Amino acid sequence: MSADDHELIERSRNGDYSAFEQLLLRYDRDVLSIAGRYTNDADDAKDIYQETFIRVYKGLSKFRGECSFPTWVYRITVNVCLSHRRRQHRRATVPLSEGENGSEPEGRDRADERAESSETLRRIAEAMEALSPQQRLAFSLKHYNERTIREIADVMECEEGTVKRYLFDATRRLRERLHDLAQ
Amino acid sequence: MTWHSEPMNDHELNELLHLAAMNELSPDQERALDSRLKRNPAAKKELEELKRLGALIALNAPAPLPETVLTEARRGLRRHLTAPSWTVRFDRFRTVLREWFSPRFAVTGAAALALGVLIGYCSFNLPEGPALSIQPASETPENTATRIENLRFIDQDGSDGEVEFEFDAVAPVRLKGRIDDPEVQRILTHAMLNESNAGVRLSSMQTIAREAERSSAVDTAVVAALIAALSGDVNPGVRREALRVLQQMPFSPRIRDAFVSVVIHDRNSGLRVAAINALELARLDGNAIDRQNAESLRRGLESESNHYIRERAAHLVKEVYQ
Repeated sequence: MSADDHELIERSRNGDYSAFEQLLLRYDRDVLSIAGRYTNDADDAKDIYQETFIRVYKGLSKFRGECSFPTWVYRITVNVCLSHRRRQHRRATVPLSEGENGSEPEGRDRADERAESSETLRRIAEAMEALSPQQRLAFSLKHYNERTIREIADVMECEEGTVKRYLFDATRRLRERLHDLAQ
Repeated sequence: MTWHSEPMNDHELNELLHLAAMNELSPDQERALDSRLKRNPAAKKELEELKRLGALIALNAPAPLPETVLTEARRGLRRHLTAPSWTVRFDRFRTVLREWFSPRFAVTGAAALALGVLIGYCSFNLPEGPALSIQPASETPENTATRIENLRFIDQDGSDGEVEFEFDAVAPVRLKGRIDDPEVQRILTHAMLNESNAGVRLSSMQTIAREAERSSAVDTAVVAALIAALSGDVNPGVRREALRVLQQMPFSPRIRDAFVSVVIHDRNSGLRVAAINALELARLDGNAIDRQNAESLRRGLESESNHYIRERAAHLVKEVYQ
C-alpha cells in the first residue's frame, strides 16, 4: 500500500470525507470502467460504482492491509458486479461504438457499413449476455480491461486455473455463437 | 513444468492455443507451442481462428463510458454518503418512536413534548430576527409545482396492483440572508459540490470566497469542500478557481497536501503548474512541504512529462532534504 493511501485511509476512518474523496479519485475511474465494460450499460455501471464505494466507505475500518488498497477495492467491485441484478426496465443494450454519433449525410455504402457494424455489436452483446456472470466478468476483465489471468484470479479470489476455465468456456461459447462473424 | 521437453496431449495443446490467443504464454510455453505448430497444421488453423475471434471482440469492444457518467456517479455517491436517505431517516425516526412509546419513557416523553410546545410558542412569538428569510421562489401559480428527480423503481411489477419507487422531490426555494450565515454557507457549499451546472458551481465558490477572503476565521467545512472541488470537479475552470481561493486562505497542512495531490494527479498540465507555483509561494512564506510530501512528489513525478513541473518539484524536494 502506498504511504499516501495509508494516510488517506487513516483520515477517512476518522471521518474526514475529503480524504475519502481523494482516495476515491485514484481508483474510481478503473472501477467504473470495469463495471461499464461488464454491464455494457451506463446506469447499471453507475449502480455498481455507487454500491462498491458505499461498501468501501463502510468497510474501511475493517481493512487491515492484507492486500493492496486498490486490489481490495477491485475485489469489492468484482463481488458487486457478480451480485448485481440488472435494472428491470432495460433489456440488453447494443453498445454505442466510438464515432458512431456523427450527423453528416452518408451514402448508401456508409449506411450499409454502419448497419452491418451495428448488427455485429448487437450479436456480440447478445453472446456476452448468454455467458454466466463469472465467465462474462473474467472475459471482460481480460479482453476489455486488459488484466492478466493472475490479476483476474487475484481480484476474483480464485485459482488461476479457475479463471482459465471461465475464459476458455467463454471463448468456446462465443465462438459457437459468432463463428460466421469470425471467419 | 518445462513444456518443450515433455510430450503434449490434446488437452494441453488446447490450453496453450487459448493462452497464445490471449498473449498469456510463458517463454517456455511459447517455444513448446511453436515447435508443435510446425508439425500440426490443424492446430495452427485453430490458433488463427481463436485470434480472429479475439480481434473481432476487441474491435467491437463497448465504447468507454463518457466522462459525464463518471461525474454523475461521483455526484450520486457524494449525495448518498453525505446526506442520509429518507429511508434511513425514517428508520431512525421509527427506532426513536419505538423507544419513546415504551412505558419507561412515556411520562418523560409527554413532559418533553409539553416543554417543547411551550418553548416553541415562546420562540415564535419573539420579534422576528433579521438574519435569514426563506420563502417559496415564486408565488405565481405556474412555478409552484414540485420537481420530481431521480425516480428509481424498487418494485415496478404492477401485477399485484402496487408499485414502489423512490424519488427526490425538489421544490424551488428563495433564500435571502447574510453571507456569513452558516445556513447560507452550507447551501452554497452544497451547490459548489453538487450542482450539475459548472457555472453555478463556480459562482457558488466565488461567493463563498468573497466572504472567506474578508473574514480571518474560515469554516473548516468550507475548506474541505474547496479541497474536494479542487480534487474532484470535472471542470478544470472550477478546479482552478478552487485552487485560487484556497491560496487566499490561511495556509494549513491539509491545503498543502491538496496542492501536492494536484501536482501529482491532475490531468490538466496548466493546473499542475498552478499548483506547483502555489507550493513555491507557500515555501517563500515559510510554509515548505514536509518529508512525506517530498517523498510523494518524488515518486509521483517520475512519469511527469512537463519539464517545468519536474524542475520546480525537484527544487522543492531538494529544499526539504537540505
